[in-house]
Amino acid sequence: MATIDDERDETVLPVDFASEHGHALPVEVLDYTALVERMGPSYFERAQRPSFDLMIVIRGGSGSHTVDFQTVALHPGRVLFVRAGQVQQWHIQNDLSASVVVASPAASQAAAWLPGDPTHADLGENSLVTALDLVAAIEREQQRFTADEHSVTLLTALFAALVALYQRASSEPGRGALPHAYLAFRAALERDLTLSRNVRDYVTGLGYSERTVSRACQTVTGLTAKALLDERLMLEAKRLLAHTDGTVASISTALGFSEPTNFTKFFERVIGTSPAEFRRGLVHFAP
Amino acid sequence: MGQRLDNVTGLYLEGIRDGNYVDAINNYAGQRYTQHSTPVRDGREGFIEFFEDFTTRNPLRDIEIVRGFEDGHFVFIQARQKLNNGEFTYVTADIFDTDDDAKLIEHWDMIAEVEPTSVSGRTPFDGPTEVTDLDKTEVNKRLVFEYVTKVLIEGDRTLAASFVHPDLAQHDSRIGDGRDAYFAFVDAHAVRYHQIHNLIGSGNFVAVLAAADKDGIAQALIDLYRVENGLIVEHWVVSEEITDPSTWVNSGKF
Repeated sequence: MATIDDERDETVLPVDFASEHGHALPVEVLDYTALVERMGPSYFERAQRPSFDLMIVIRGGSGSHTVDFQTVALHPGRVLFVRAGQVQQWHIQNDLSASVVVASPAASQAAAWLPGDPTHADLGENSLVTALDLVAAIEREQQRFTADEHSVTLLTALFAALVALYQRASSEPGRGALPHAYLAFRAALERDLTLSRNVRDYVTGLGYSERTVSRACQTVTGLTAKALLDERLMLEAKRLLAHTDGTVASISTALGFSEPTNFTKFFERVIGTSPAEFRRGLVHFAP
Repeated sequence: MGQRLDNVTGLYLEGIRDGNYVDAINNYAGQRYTQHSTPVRDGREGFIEFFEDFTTRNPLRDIEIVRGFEDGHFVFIQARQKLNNGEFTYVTADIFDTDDDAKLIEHWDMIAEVEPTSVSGRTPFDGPTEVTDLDKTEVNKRLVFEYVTKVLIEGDRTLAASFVHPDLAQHDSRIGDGRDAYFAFVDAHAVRYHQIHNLIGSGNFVAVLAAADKDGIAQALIDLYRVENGLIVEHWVVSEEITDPSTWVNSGKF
């Protein structure tokens, strides 16, 4: 079902789980050990940027997984939700037992990940039982999948239930219901990220003033709207530097900068090193 | 304040103070209990093994929770432990991670003996305990994150005044009140922070689990900051020297 992202190049391997059902299967469960066998261990030595969502449910063992430059320890009961577009890297562990649920963009309604969002959830006893029941149900349904509309709806709903379980377990009390001004700004960021570096351009048409949007961003994340925009753009820059072979100049253009020097200045201001230094430092992301 | 803080308080008071450590760990721990208190093994068994011995060695245990808050799945707690009628008095700062049943799954801690005197005249416990400004949690966490990153890790002292109040109330027994006194201590002892391992907050309080060097010796610290009107106005800290890994029975302080 899965297809590779659009930055096809030397540093990344095609991410295709070679489903025997073709593109119609919206959600598929793979056992971690079966996945290692199917793809070969060398596959996991590289960073990947899948174009689908992955829900990884750890059943036993330990290990670690890097998602967008943050390493998360793996423990029984822990669930990682890697969103389409995130750069991820597996660190192979032999004793790890996990279920990996992959969902096509059409099947997953989850929002793209933004810095500050949770990277994982720790399920309690009851939630873990529910999660494993949902995984088992998806497995059963994929066995008898006939590409009819109802089966697609059913599998999509089962994945949505898993996402709800994850979000309930990872939601941060105290944030409460997220303000709409913040959610609307986030959505605008995802849609138009490379078009402008001016907060006003993202706020126009949202129905809120710049001030309201910025306040909402600060309450939720501690960051102003401008800082949030910079963080999101920075994450994209890091992903492209880590994951593609593109030159700094071409990445600069792809991100919407008029001049590579402006991109380099921006990068240095936000994280203190140049794009080239950052790329050199990414030993574990090297092909 | 919430089930998570209640569970931590239960583990401390029912388990350690009252000596019901078997029931307490079974009631309050989740599917795993990952331990960063270096003399204690991982898991419920490790907890039971350690406190079996601890409660025998310290038959009189007067324990009081001084401050505590939740941030998402994390819990911060600061406690006073008076053992054996004042034979020892300890200050502890702990951070716990919890699962979605609010059960405790991971624990980081710092413990230090309370010094009889302090330069500022303050104790490791006094000062405000009430969590206020709940709408400022994320802004205050961001402020402390930038302070630790830019001033304590990157060492840009020119920014100190934009983060720390000149009359900083200091609870580190070795340091007097005030911003200048703090940075004089930092200079005198070559204090250099290296990494933030966790940063959690609730309203006006922000706690930071960090690694640093002092006088060339590696330290683990939990700093607690109180923020008021956009400046750090009060500081409590519990630190430990990081011991040789051969003495640990788990994966270490972080």
